[in-house]
Amino acid sequence: MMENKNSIPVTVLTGFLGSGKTTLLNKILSENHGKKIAVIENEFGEVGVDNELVIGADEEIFEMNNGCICCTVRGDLIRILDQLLKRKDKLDYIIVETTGMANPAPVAQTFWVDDEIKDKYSLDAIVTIVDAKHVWLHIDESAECKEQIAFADVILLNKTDLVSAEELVKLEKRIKSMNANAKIHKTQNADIDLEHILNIQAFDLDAKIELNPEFAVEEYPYEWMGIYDFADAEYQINMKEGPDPSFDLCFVKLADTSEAVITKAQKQAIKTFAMESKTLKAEKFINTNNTLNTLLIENESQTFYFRPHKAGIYAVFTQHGPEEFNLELTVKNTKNGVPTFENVEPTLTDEFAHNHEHDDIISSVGIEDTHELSIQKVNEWISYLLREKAIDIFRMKGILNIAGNDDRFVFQGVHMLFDAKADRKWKPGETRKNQIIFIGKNLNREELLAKYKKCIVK
Amino acid sequence: MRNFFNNEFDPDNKEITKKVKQWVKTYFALPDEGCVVLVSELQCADEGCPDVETVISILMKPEVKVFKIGKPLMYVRTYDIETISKNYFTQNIT
Repeated sequence: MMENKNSIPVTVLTGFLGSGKTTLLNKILSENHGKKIAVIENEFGEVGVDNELVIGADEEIFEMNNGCICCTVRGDLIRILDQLLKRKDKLDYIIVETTGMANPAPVAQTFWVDDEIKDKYSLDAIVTIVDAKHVWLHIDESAECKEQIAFADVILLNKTDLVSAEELVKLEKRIKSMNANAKIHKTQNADIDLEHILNIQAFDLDAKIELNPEFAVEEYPYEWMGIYDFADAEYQINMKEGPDPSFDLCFVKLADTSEAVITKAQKQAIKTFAMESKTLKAEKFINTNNTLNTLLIENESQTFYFRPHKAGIYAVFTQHGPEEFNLELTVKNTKNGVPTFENVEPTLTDEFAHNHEHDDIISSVGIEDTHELSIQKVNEWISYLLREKAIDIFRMKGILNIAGNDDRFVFQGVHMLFDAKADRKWKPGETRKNQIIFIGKNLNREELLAKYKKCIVK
Repeated sequence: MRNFFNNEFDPDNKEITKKVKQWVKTYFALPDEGCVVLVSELQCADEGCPDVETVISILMKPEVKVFKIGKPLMYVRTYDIETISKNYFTQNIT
């Protein structure tokens, strides 16, 4: 948001009943920070510290467009915000607490719909408290629980003392798969340094937007990985027809086969799969140097070749399982002047769930890439997303490398409310790159990537 | 199509928003206290709707009145507000 420097920051606090919201609020209010904080809360009367302003709200939601969640705002909140501006003593901070069953969208949208509100208040962040033990009762069934996690900039995994380390790892993985961009803090009794939850400027376009580099952790655009030890030789890939008319694959060179190196390679492959691909017809050579290759499957049977750019260990990532195309890998040896082809088997394989199999779930799709984008194409794409996908895309934000422009472009969106601008000059030596994240339901990674790739300047 | 990164709608919107709010208060004869007017621009996905429309919400307990003007905020003029207020009062009288 392009807020006024004198605007009052607002933190939205969400979380199910019993997750620890009241404990956190009491902690915020009782800390000796010397700030005048107003709390707008629903469970009126539970929180209250001398000298603090606690205002009851009734979560009155109204629609600005017929039946569209994208255009709902909180009427009660608007009235309260209007009243607060008329006070003589200026507030330093506002915290809006929502009821356990609330969807955070109308609250967030309240701060975006009107220029005067945008000018006087700045939505700082959405903080969601999750009860690490009891969240499993809601996380699969409750739309509100999923929305609260999906909308969050910060997630407090609270009551970690009530669960085992294994349960906590499982929960953290699940949450990251839903919202890969939120900062996760593990807490007991909602005990956290306030600097992690207040004044973090998650919605501020003027602040340095930091996208979580781990954002793509649980989103695999490939279904299969095989580890191979390749010699400096010519290899041959034989493939039959399969479920798709093309087959994407990329190679990542590994230093060794340790878990850390393989995990890093998986992340690299996610980025490579987001890049523009090189399309190859049969009989062509595949690039093994961090390039996405799209093999065209035009015949009943076809052969492709590659020679590793360096001999050594590689991870090969494929869009589909190799068995779906009866893929065979062989190496060419020449004995007494006669070429022979020997089968090559991976030393290790792994399979990955493909995200397009998960319908109606909340997930994140991240794009990171260094190509220059066409401003006109980006505008067309964003227009399309806001027009057609705004209900499903809860939040999006990004940094863009626009062709022919020395400015870094940044944007933020909540459903169909959107804010964007040229931010600052790219610094000398800084890698100009695009980083975009979408969080929402029914996100189609392939479609988002395909439309993104159309914005790349050829 | 909107040009999101040139902020073509943004630079003067604050001033226009203030003006439109004042016109709404005048034409709807709204009291200074207990009433809030919101002025928003929305990109409507409904078929037949213009790409960008201006939505005016009047929050006065116990109800919220919402009016739409089928053009971007920068093109809203006093006669648009006069028209929606006349239509509103006519409908409420008959």
